[in-house]
Amino acid sequence: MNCKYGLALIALVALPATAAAQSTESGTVDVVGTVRSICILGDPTSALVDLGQLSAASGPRTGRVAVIPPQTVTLPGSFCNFAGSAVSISATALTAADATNPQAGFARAVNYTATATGWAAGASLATTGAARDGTGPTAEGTGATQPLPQVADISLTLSSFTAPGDQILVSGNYSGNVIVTLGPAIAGGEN
Amino acid sequence: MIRASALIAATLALSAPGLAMAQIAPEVGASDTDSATVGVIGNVPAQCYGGTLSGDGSLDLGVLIDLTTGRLRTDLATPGEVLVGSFCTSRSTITVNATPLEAQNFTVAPPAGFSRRVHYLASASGWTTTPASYNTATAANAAATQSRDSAFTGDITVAISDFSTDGGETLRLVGDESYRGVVTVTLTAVN
Amino acid sequence: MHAPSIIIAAVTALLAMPVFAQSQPAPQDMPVTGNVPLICALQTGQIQPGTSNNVIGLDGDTLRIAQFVNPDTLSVKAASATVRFDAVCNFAHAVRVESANNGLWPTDAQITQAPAGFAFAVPYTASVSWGQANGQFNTDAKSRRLVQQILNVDTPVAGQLDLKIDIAEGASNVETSAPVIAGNYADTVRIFLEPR
Repeated sequence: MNCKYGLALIALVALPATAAAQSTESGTVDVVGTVRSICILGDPTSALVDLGQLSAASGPRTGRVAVIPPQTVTLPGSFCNFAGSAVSISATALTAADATNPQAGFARAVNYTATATGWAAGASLATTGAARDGTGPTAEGTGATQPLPQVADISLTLSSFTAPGDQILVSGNYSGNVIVTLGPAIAGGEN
Repeated sequence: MIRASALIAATLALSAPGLAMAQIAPEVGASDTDSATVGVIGNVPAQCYGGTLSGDGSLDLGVLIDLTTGRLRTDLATPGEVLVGSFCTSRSTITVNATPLEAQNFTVAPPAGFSRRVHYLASASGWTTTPASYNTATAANAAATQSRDSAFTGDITVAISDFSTDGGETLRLVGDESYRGVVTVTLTAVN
Repeated sequence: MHAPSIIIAAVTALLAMPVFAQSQPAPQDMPVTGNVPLICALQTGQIQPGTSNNVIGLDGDTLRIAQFVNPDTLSVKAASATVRFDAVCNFAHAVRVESANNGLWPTDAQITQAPAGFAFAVPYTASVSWGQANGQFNTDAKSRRLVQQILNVDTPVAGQLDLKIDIAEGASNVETSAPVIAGNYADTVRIFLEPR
């Protein structure tokens, strides 16, 4: 029986007591529940990566971008409970706080490559391509599709730090960021 | 009557959907996409690099006197020096300081009619609109420090001129195979 | 599923470079060099006005005596003059006074002996005054030879070098006031400013 419970109750009460009883009656109740599709990223082991001094302090490359070793942040215990998820990255180059157009021979941006691994067979990668004046700082990339629900540690590595044209860096504080997104893979969005 | 009760009970059990859902999803409002942001920061110090000297770094005038009179030559000249590839990553000041040429071996007070010191004007151009200059013969040298209000890279040309005998042009110079002074050019970054 | 505990990584562990001093000046020293050769220079001499006695003048570099001997006695008449040279030495040096003949000797024949009582060469005195240095140089005219005297000067000097030639009344290389044998008499005095 699939009637609204309120009506069913009234209907039963209304039956006369002298009605003839049948031998058996059966009713069917469907039990229904829903599990939504969810992705949750683990909290990054470090919310801020501080590269320290970006320029070489001495030697033939004084004033130009230093050799900065790769930096890795982990997002542990990330999970999606559905099939067909992927990691997307939006990386923004580091740019100097002073937005003044730099003099000839100088740059106010440091580009880098952000790579996310550990989720699917192919990594997600984005390499920023800011110009020396800091314009066009953001780059995006999406990785391979993960065909099964999974729980995994996602590793985000920042590497290959370069300055546009390898020019001298203007002084000041620089900042950029990487946004990691875990969600359904968009058809045709694999890299 | 038993059947009616069972139907009511089953129905009641279904009437509290919120309770069942709470056991499946850990966070209220979680969706199929999650994002995390990792900030990246660094700094470039306000720094100057004085450049590399184009020649051997010395401004040699050779013989300072007219051999028939013993007095300072009036035609002294030397090619300047160039500091190639100087830069400051922020606004800066350039300062020139100079010490007069002095006899290095004849160090006592010279006798009447003689001098052991030659004055000159040192200038550093190419960095600022007005070259920085220092005259060893004058007590005050306001033009010795000049400012640039932006980061800059370029070549600085150092030149010396306007030679004069300390004490007057009628004095002769004491004989000494080594007369020496020093020109110092300093670039200072301003935060 | 619960979120893992947050690990706050030490910031220093992620620093790529040590903290660098701000605003470090970048001085460049460039030496300026030269040299002053040791030199002495001596200009042409001039007779000091008012110092000549029995001297005609300086003819080029020849000091001419007006009247060499007294016409009655044929003995030498006094004569003197001071010749002044503009000069400079820019180092500690020496003055050398040199007489070619050691007195005034005849210029034509070489006479080393004369009849008794006659003088055949005439002595004189040369005095040098230069800066703080003063010296006197006597020729005795006894023998004809080069003689010299050296005077050390401890400082550079610029100014005038005075050479006074003084022939005494009756000067003679035999007895005083002896008569002098006829002829032309001469000597050459040289001044050298030179290293010690």
